[in-house]
Amino acid sequence: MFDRLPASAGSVAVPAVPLNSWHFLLISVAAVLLMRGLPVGLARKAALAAVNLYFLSLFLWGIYPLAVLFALVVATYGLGELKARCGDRVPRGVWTVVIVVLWCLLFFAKDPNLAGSINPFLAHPLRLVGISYLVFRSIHYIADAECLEGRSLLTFVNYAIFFPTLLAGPIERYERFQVFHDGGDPEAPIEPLPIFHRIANGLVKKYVLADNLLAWSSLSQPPAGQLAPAILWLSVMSLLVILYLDFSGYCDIVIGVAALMGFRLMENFNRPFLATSVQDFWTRWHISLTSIIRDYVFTPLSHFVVYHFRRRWQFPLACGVYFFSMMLIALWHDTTWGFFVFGLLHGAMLVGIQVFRRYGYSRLGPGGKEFWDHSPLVAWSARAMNYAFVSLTMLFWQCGPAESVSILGRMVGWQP
Amino acid sequence: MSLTVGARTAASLLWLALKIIVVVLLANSEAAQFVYQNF
Repeated sequence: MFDRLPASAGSVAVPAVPLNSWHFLLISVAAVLLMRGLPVGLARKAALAAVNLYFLSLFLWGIYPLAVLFALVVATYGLGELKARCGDRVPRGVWTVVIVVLWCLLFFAKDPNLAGSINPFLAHPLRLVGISYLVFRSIHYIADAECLEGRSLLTFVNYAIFFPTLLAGPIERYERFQVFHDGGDPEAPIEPLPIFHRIANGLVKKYVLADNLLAWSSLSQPPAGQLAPAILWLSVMSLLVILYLDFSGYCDIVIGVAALMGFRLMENFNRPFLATSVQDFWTRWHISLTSIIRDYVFTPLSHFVVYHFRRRWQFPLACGVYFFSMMLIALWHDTTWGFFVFGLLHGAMLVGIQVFRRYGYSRLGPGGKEFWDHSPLVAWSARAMNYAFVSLTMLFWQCGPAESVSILGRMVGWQP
Repeated sequence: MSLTVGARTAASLLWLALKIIVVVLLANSEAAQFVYQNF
C-alpha cells in the first residue's frame, strides 16, 4: 500500500542529488572547507552563495523556476526593507495582505489545479524544489523584518537557499542564521567526531532503515485487499516509524553538515513517540514547521480573538483557530482529500482536547487531577493511544479516504 | 588518562566506520522516498 504516495502536479518526485551520493559529499566538503578556511567577511559570504547557487542549479528545470525564485527573493527582501524602514507609515493591514498573498502563492504553486483559472500556475506549473520552505522563510522575514538585525541582500539570499536546508528544511529563522552567517562565535570549539556520528546515524536511518522498510512494505505485499488483518495492523502501525526514520534521518544529515560549516540549525524532532496527546505530538514533530504556524498563524489569530470578541465567544473561536491551524498544517503537505481528512481528524482531536481541558479536567477532584497528571499508567496509555491515532490517520494521506476506510474496516474484521 | 581518551576515540572511529560500511552496503536509494515527494 505504501507505493501509492500522493503527488500533486507541481511536485518534485526524485531528488537530483541524494544526500548519500558522492556529489552531495563533494559539495558538502567544499562548503565546509570554504566556511572554515576563509576569514569572516564578504569573500566567505560570496563563496557560500556560490555553493548554494550551484546546489540549487542541480534542481532547476529551465529558466522559469529560476525567474520565479529570483522574483520571490527580491520581492521578499524589498518588502522586508520597506517594512523595517518605514513600516510604521504603512497600515498594518497591508502586511497582513502580503502574508495572505504569500500563503496563496504557496498553495497555488504546490497545486496548479487549485482554484481553477484564477491560479496563475495553471498554465505554467512551477517545478521549484523546496518551494514551501522558501515561502515560509519569506513569510518569516517579512513578518519580523523590523526586528531583524544585520539585514543584507547577500545574507538573505544565503538564508533563502542555504543548501543543506533547501530541500526540506529545517525552516531556520533569519536571526539565528545571520549570527552564524556573519561569523557567529568563530572561537567556539567544534567536536567533529560527534557530528560525523550524527551524519552517519542519519544515513543509516534514512537510506538503510527507512528506504528498505518502505521498499519491503510495498514490494513484498500483495494489494492491501488480500492482506490478513494482522499484517494490515503491522503495516499501518509501522507507517509512523518509517516516516520518522526517513525525515529525522534527513534532518540528522543536514543539521550535521551545517554544523561542520559552523551553522547550528534548529532541531526538528523532540522524541515525538513520547507525546501524550495530538497537541503534544505537534510540538515534538517537524518543530520548525509547527513553530512557523504557531508564530504566524495561531498566535496572531488567537490575539485577534481575545482582543476583538466578547468573552463568551472566545472559547469556541479559539477552538476554531486550533482547527484552522491544523488544517493549514495538513494541507500544506499536499492538497489531496487524504490530507484534508487527516487535518480534519487531527483538528477535531485538538478541539476535543481543549473541550476536555475546559469542561472535563477542571471538574476532576484534587485526587483525580493528581492521578491524571502524574500516573505512569495514564501517561503510557496516552502515549500508546496517541501513537495509534497518528498512525491510523496517516493512512488517509497514504491511501486516500475511500481505500483507507476499506482498510480500516478489514483491520477490525469487517469485510465490505 | 590520555590512553583512555585515545582508546575511546579509536573505538568511536571504528563504530563510525562500521556505520559507513552499513550505509554503503545496505542503502536503498531506489526506494520511494517520503521527504522529497511533495515539497
